This record gives sequence, C-alpha cells and structure tokens, in this order.
Amino acid sequence: MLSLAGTLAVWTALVASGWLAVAGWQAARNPFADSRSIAALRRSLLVMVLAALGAMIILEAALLANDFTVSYVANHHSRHTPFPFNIATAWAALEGSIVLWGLVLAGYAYAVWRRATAGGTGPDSLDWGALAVIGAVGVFFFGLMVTVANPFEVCTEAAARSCTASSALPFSRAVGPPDGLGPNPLLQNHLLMAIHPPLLYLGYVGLTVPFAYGLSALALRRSGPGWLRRSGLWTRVAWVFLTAGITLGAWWAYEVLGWGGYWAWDPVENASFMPWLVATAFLHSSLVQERRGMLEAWNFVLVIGAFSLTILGTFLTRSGVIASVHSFTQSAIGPALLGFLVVVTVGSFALFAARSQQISSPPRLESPSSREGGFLLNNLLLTVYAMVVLTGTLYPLALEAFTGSEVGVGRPFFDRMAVPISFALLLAMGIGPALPWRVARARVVWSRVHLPLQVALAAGVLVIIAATRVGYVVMAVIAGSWVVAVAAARLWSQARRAARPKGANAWSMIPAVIRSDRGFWGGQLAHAGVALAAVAIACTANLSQTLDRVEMAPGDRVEFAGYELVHTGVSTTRTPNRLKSSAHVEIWKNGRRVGLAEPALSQFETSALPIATPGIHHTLTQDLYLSLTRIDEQAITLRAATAPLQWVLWLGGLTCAAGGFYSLVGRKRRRSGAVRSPEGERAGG
Amino acid sequence: MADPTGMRLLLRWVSPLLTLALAAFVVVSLTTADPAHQDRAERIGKQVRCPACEGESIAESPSSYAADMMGYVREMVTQGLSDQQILDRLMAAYPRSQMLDPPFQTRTALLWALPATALVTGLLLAFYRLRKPVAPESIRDST
Repeated sequence: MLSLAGTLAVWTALVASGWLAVAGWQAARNPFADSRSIAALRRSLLVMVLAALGAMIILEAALLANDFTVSYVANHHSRHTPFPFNIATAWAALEGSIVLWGLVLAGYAYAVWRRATAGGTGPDSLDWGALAVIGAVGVFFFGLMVTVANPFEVCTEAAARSCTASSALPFSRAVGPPDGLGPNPLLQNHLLMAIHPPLLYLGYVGLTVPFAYGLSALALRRSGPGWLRRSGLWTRVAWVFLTAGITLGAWWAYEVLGWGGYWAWDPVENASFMPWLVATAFLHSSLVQERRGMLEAWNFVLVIGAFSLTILGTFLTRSGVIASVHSFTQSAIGPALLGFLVVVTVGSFALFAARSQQISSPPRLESPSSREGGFLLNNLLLTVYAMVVLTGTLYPLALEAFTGSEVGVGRPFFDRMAVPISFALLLAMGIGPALPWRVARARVVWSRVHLPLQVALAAGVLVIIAATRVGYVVMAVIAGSWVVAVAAARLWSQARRAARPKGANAWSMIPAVIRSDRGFWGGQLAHAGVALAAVAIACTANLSQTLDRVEMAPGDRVEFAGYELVHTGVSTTRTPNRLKSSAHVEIWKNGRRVGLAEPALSQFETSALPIATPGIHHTLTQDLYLSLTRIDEQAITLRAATAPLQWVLWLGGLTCAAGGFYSLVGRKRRRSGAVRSPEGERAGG
Repeated sequence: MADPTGMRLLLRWVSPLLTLALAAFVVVSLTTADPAHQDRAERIGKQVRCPACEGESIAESPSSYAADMMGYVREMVTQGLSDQQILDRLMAAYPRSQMLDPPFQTRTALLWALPATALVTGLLLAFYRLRKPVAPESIRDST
C-alpha cells in the first residue's frame, strides 16, 4: 500500500521534473514569455515539490508504521529503533538519502521560483533557464529513485530479519519480515547524526542553484551581473549550510566515533570539503566581478566546478568504490552517478568553451597589490587546496585501477600539504581586507596593518611566555589574531570616520557601520571563525597528550596529564537491539573528584564489531577524552587523550557559518530597495 | 591623528621597530624551543595504516591488530632505534601494512606533481592574463 503510494509519488516527481525542464527552457528562450508558458512552468514546479514532499512523507510513514513490506524499511529499520533515530533512518541509507536529496532539490527549485517572482524587477529568462537546469538535475535524481535506488520496492521474499528479494512492481504480493535489522549502529548513537546529514544535503544540493544560473547564462548568452548576483546569493545560502554541516559532522565524529579525532581526511569528509573550498573561492571571486567586471570566465568555471565536485563526492561515497563509515552498500548507483558526473562536466565545459568568445573580456589588473590581487591570491590558494584534496582522494583509486598497485594516501600526506596552504590563506585573510581596490600603496597598507600586526605578534609573545613554545600553535595564534585585528582596526577606523562629521562617539557608530555593509562585515565574521578554528586545530594537533591502552581492573588508578583516573566498575544495559557495557571512570584532580566519565562499548546484534562511545570530560581549557578498546567484568583497556581548546573549533565553525548567514541577510535587504553604501571602503587610513 | 608630524614619526620609525622587536622575540623563542616531545611511538604509529581497518592509522585504530603493531613499535622505541629503522622493521614484520604518507617514488610522482602544476599554472595564468597592459589613468590610494 505504502509502496504503491511511494512509487506513484516518485514517478510523479520524475515526470514533473522533466516537464519543469521543458517548460523552463521554453519560457527562457522566449524573451516575452507569455503567461501560458509561465503557468505551465509554475504548475510543473508545484507538482514536483508536492510529489517530492509526498515521497519523503510516505517513507517516514512507512518507517513509523513499521511497514516491513517496503524494502527500505525491511532492510534499514527495526521495531526497536528509538525516536528520533527512526525518523533519521529515512536518510541513513542509500535509497532514502536520495529521496532526501530529491526533496531538498525540489525545495530549492521552489525557493528560486519564489525569489524570482517576488523581486521588484520581476523574473526574467535567466530564472526560467535556471529552473530548467534544476528540472534536468531533478530528472536524474528522481530517475535514480525509480531505477537503481528505489526505496519503495515491494518485499516479495523475507528472511527473519531482512528482505531477500523485492520487486519494483507495486502490485507484487507483499511479504514482510516480522522485524528488520535497523540502521547502521554508528548512526543511532547521537542526536547530531540526525541533524548533520540534512544540513550537508542543504549545502550540496544548494550548489545546484548557482550552477543552474551559470549554465542558464551561458546557454542564453546572458553573461554579466545578472547571473552572477543570483549565483552569489544562492552560493551563500548553500555555503552556510555546508559550513554548519561540516562543523557538526566533525563534532559528531568527535563525540561518537570514539577514536579521539574529528577529521581524518576520510574520502567522505574530503567530498564535503572540496565543494566548500571551491564555493568559498567563488564567493570571493564573484566580488571582483561584481565590483570590477573581471574574472567572469573564472567564475563560470568555479560554479561548474563546485557542482561537479558535489556529484563526484556523492559518487565516491555512495558507490562503494571507497569503503568508509559513510559509504553504503555497493549498488548499481555507482555507474549511474559516474555517468551523470561525466555528462555534467563534459556538457558544461563544452558549453562554456562554445560561449567563451562572448564572455566579456575583462579589464586588466592594474596592480597585483590591490584588493583584486588579494582575491586572486585567495582563489589561487583555495583552488590549489581543492586540487590537493582531490588528488589525494582519487590517487589511490586511479593508481589501483590503472596499475593494480596499492598506495596509501592518508592523514600525513594531507596534513603536510594542507598546513602550509592554510597558513598562507590565513595571512592572505589578514592582508586582503586591508588592501584598497585598484592599487594599494605601501604607505596606506602599512598604516592599516601596522597596529594589527603588533597586536598579533604581541599575542604570540604572550602565548610563548605563558603557555607554549610549540611553533605551529604560536604561529596559528599570531596568524589568527592578525586576521581578527585587521578586521577590528578597519571597523574602528570606519566608525571614527563616520562619527567625525556628527561629532558622535565612535563606539556608538559601530552598529551603523556594520549594518551599512553586511556583506563585508559578515565576511569578516566568517574570517574570525576560520581564525578561531585554525587556533583550535593547531592546539588539538600539537598539544594533545595521549595515554595508550592501559589495562585497568576495578579499583585501579592511573595518572594522566595531571589527572588521576580511577576505574570504579562496569555496568551493562540491555536494550532490544544492543548490549551496552560502560566503564565508570572517576576523574580526580588535586585530590578532588571533578567528574565521572562513562566510556562504553556497545554490541549491536546486527554487527560483529563493538561500537565505542567515548566518555568526555569537558572543561574550558581542554577536554579529557576517554575511550575503551576492551571491556569485561575483570578489566577494561582504556585509552585517554587530552584535547586542548577543542570547543573553540566548534565555535569557530559555527561563527564562520554565522558570518555567511549575516551577509546573506544583508543582501536580501539591499535587493528589496535599501541603499547600500559602496563597500564602506572610501578613503585611505 | 591629531599631530601629523608625530603620526608620521610613529609610522616611519617607532612602529616598524616595535614590530621587528616583537617578531625577533617570536622567531628566537621558536627556533630555540625544544622540539615538541610528543610520544615518539604515537608519532610513528600515525604514519602507518592499520591493515585490518579502513584508512585509520595503527595509533588511532581500536583494533587488536593495531594494538599488536603499536606494541611492537613501542618495544623498538625503547630499544632506541631510529624512526626509519622502526618503520622498516615494522613493514617487514607486517607485510600487509602500508605507509599513510606515500613515499616519493615514480608511481607516486604525479600525486606531488599535480598540485604543484596547478599552483604554477594558476600563477602563470594570473601573471600573463591579468598583467597590467592598460595605463592606469586615475590611480588613487583607494577606491
């Protein structure tokens, strides 16, 4: 019954996407699109949105109703999966995650429509063209749902805990197992798991929209500020979600996976990081085009690149070519995604090449030492960074595919490449906002940066005297403070300038200065977030202490990093689908009990390996991270590590996302009529 | 900026000197600092991929196989072997293990060359395409 409804919803969404692609293209090609073709477009869009929403609701209903005749439910759900993980199961495995993908895409299509029709200038062919591209992308994803990734197949043969055969024909005789195995145990351990995939999807899928506008502009020969402004807006939206999603993903790994880290350069992490890097590059280079008309061709490359990388990432993590926490079972979806990736990249770049003559030739750079030059440097660094991550991720695969020889490319490789690039980015982030447009004279730049530079160096000196002489930490503090101090100095000098004619207090002018250019100051807030994250990463990577595998019987104590850890006993809790054994470890410091940590190992009946859950003692200066590798009544094997300033990393990531969000709010205002002061960057220091 | 001459003096002399002094302090303290004494076995273990698990190093993996290998590394560290000796012996004892940091060889050359090529191409492109062929007619200090 639900299989039938779900199948109908997905087919409807598929047809509606195709209809949207056709109607959008017809409306786009006719500069005076008549109300009939617009009405067709609107109808197809609404059908697509409702059908995609319907598919998701039906999937959730099947999960909540324990309808094990639906193949997805039989294979990925269990009666005992607790709330909210029974809801999150809808995107915890391959087919369901594609349903979520389709829903988010339809949501973006609707938002694009709303935005296009609500504005004062009215929609134009660029918007219709973009909707056509979104429709075409929708055809692919809804197409996956009716073929290789169909969650609504009818289970026709059932074993005790799973569905052994299923059919895509909704009227097949349905047999359901009495219960299922439930989702991957790793995914039902923490609330963050329910949140971070949807956020990441909002980010990934959001990058479809700038790509759609880019393609629309190329196809319609409409280069110029129109597509750029729209792409910039939607890239910001996607970027905010992507930033938040990556941060929460790292947080989840830290709180749940029990290996003490938050980032492993795992292919799936790289898959989210590469589009982030390219989207970040676009956010900056789009400013150069907006301001100076330069770099338009490059901007097309970036929006196409960012979207292609999301598809590549989906292919890498969903096809089973790389085994990781995130890759689901192997299926025929791999070749389909690979084919789509080839079509997207080859098609888009062919269109780009065909139109390259018509992309306006840019005015030249007057001087490399200028704001434009800073943005160029930023783009070069971010692109090379993305290239490093891409090469490192694909190299082992390519080498094995072509020569059969295996090579490991892991953390040491990525760290070695990423650290210098990140430092260069931080320095660029500090100097960039201080550079005037066109030409920056040394005197002006020096007058803007000398004080921040001294503040930053002084912060470094303070760290050396008070805390540590570890080079990476000191350099990260200096670079990070430099980024923040340059922004603060710009803010202060502009507030003073704004206050002077009014005879007002400069402090009181700060909110007004910030409000006058939300885009710029939102960007500076995001920079500050990156600076915080950099300091936190340097601290956790270099100042962490570790204690490897100590055997402890109940009553044993062990000294570690100024703490005394006491193993007081073991307790086990049994829930229907797992047996969780927790160790009680008291944490003492200076003769006082400061906390109790309960690291645990859970044995899920569906998986052979136990799942480790860390016990974390959070303090303001550092986390104490305890995890188990073995537990029984007689003894535990404990691992411990300190993670200095770990919380600052989460703060930094979320600050970064908040900065993007703030700049987004600012853009909205400007488009609805409020006058924006040009960059607030008048006159030197 | 009440007093222009005082300001100029500050910009030209005091400020650079102060900056230099602070920078010198940082450079000297960092170059004379003891090398960070992180656990050597831990550091070596992080470079070796655990053969029984995916993409994790033997220092991070909770598996017993990795624990064995780490035990061997610790033993060799206490014997006072050099990093390279330890890695060589480890690879010999556990033939299925791999370095996570690929050594520079012919088959890994591209891995290092591709990012470098991207960097050089980017620099050349920026330099040739955007070099200033227009006479800047009206250059002011800032926009």
